Amino acid sequence: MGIAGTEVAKEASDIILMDDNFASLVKAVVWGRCVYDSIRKFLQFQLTVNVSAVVITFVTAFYTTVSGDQNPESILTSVQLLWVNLIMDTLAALALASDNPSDELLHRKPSRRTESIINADMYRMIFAQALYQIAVCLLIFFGIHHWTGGKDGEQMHTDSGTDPVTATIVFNTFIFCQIFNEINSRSISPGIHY
Amino acid sequence: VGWAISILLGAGSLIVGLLVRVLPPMPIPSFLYKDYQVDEKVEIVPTIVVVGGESTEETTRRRSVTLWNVALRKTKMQVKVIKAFQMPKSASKLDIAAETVARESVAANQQHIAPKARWSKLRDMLFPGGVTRRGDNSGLIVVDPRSVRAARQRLARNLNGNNTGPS
Repeated sequence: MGIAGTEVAKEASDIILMDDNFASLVKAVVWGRCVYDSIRKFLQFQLTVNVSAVVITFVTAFYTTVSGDQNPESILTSVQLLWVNLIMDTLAALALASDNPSDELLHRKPSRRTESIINADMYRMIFAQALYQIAVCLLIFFGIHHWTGGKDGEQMHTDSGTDPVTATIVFNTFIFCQIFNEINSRSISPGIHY
Repeated sequence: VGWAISILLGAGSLIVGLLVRVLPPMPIPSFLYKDYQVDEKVEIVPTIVVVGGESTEETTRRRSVTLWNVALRKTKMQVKVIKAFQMPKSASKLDIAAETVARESVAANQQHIAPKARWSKLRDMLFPGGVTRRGDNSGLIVVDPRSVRAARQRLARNLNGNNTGPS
């Protein structure tokens, strides 16, 4: 009790209620869990983006280098990666952080002190999403030229770099994956909570 | 065609997320995620091992010093927190009054943690509520009765050797 409590009690306490109102404890717990969940949601979303972007960039850059292109480069350019970071780090984080606390937050047990901030369900979601996004983007990178009317045997990389149509489709697919994954990231617990 | 491919494959990300949520959980490699089942033991006051030949008074004194240091550290933390946050303008008069009282309380605590002479520390330890001089030049010291009671209880606990810390 910050007002009626004695100095000795306040010195020895871990939490001081500044308004001497026990209802403030509930509010503090709810908002504390809400902020903690928001951080976890953002981590889940952001780690997925980063893992998939790094792998796609590395594989495509490595492939164009090894295949002997005169202008080897990644399918995701620097400007595109910066744009992804700019949009995903700000707007997506704001969207995930602006969720209001729900009553369900009070129905679960407290987190252990030694609990990792990334739990098992988050790991599963991160790796499943990253694997899917990497597979899809690389599939497009290696095969879309034939689907969109390219001639058999024609290289998907021109002398001036990667085919712009392929690069655009890969980038668009990558962005749409993140947009839909944002919906997944609104929940960090098993079950459907959209 | 390009847009259709992008949107369809992008929507697949949502389906993958649904499957991850609905399907039974897959095991995670231990090097990635280690689920700690046992919470670490929280010890505010470190255990004092009584060395052979050490008297009970010595153990009690060391325990009291440890308790005192813990209280000082927490008070310093409270001072930092109070200094870091400001009451919003939309706060009610009751909140402002509570915040004012709390700030005064913290200011008093801050004086307690300032470096002082030994006798001054002892006085503050005995009378946490503070002492004042009477205004009639009589030289008498006025103390808060609650502080006297608290000091007596603390001394009694220390003398009995069962001081488990303020609760």
